[in-house]
Amino acid sequence: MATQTITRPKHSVVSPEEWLAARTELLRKEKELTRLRDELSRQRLELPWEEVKKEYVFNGPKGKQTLAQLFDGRDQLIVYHFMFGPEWAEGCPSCSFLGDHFDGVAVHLANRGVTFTAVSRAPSEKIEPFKKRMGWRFNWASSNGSDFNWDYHVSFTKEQVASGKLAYNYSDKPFEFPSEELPGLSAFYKDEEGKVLHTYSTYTRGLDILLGAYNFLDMAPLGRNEAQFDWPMQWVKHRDKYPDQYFADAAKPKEAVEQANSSCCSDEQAS
Amino acid sequence: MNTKKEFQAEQSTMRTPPTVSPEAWEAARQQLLVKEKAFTRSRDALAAERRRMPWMAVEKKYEFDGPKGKVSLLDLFEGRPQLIVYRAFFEPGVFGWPDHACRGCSLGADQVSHLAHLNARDTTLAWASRAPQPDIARLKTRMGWEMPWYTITDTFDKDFGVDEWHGHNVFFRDGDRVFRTYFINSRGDEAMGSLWSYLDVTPLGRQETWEDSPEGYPQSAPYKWWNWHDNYNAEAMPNPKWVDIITDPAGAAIRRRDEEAKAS
Repeated sequence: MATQTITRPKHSVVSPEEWLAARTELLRKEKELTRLRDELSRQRLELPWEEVKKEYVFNGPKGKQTLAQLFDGRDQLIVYHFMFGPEWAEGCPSCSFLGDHFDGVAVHLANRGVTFTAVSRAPSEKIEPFKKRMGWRFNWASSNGSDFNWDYHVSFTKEQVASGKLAYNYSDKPFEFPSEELPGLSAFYKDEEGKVLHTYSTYTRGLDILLGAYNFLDMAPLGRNEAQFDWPMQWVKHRDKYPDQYFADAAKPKEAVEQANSSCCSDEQAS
Repeated sequence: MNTKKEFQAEQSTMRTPPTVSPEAWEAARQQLLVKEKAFTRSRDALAAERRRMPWMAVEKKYEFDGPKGKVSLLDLFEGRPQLIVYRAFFEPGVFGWPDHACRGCSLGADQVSHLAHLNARDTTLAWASRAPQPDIARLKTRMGWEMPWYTITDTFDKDFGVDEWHGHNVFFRDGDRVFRTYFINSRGDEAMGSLWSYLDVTPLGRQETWEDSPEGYPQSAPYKWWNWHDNYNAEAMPNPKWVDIITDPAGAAIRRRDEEAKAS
């Protein structure tokens, strides 16, 4: 069993009555934040939509499929842009951390008329064995050979990466990242005529709320406790590889890891 | 529950947002992003305050039933310094018993990700209910859940505010000393799962009646569409009494006490 020792931080210990008073005060603020989140969700629903005019073709377990077909008969589609480059040996550990959350949610989403799928540039021949290794069941299509990842700003050319100026997360600020793949989530709607509309995309810390484990850690006494790391998710590994140390692309040399001062799914500067 | 047909019928009355050019889309998206970032920062600030909340010492000894027999609160830490205990409703009298736990708690259980990640952060997540261990073991197998799940045998639920209502209690361990650091319930529990985060970014939102959505959007009552993941196609709906307890726990408790007073 785990026996990692953490020295108890200096912390005031009070009576149950005082504890309850402090807790109630924080609860007031937590409720304000919940209401703020509800208001933000309301405004999100009012965002305008844009028509997807390009014909994207994906490859998955069901063979060739268009974006409209990925809806799988439902009206809403969520695409998680999973970092898995065509030449990589396996998917990004941080995206895999999110991946460990997908299956439990997908069945309930389907009942709300929402189909969930992950999309990566890696070919299906790489996605399938990796998915099997991780024990995942969620839909996962390959966008290899299509413009999809480029158009949704989650893949970049070697030249763009070398330039250190990636057009990511709606920002004009130069974004430096040592990988050709970046994470994101996009939402789509299919209308009665079968037209596909792009309703929403979010990146970097916009994905933070998808991580149930982070939500739990935010409630734990020590929080996410990531200050000692070079980038917040440095501690994250594929769940079957926790003793190892490596970065998004396992085949990347270690220098790339050391150079990287930003995480792939949770970056302060970029968000 | 929305069938595909009903959904299509609803579609025609929906007043959807305008469809605009990519440039106009991006401009609107940028504006919302500013607010989303402000929200993320507020959330970080609140988490920072949470870590500074005072702790209280847990002096009483508690005993649970586990798969291998009697265990203490200290044992629930599994050697790690941090422990989160979720009080789930699975016991006689709860809708679904003995085949299923409460639907809301089951929905939560589906969203507990692989525990290796929390454990890597020196944190143990455990669930606790009043059901005996053989029932818990059977339920876990049926639903494919893997979190440790204990049976409450004493006043643990009452002492930590979870005798009538679900909730997360958080503890820290310094050697053999245990501190209660945090407690959250109700919509606070909602943040633990990611289902809501996904639905919040969909074009239609959560599709629940309390939401302020554009006109004609499909909506149904909260708490009522949730179902066990192996039961979405079945017709069975929760017992109204149990829905009452979920949607209005304080009121339900008062009504129950009134009934008990009348009966005695």
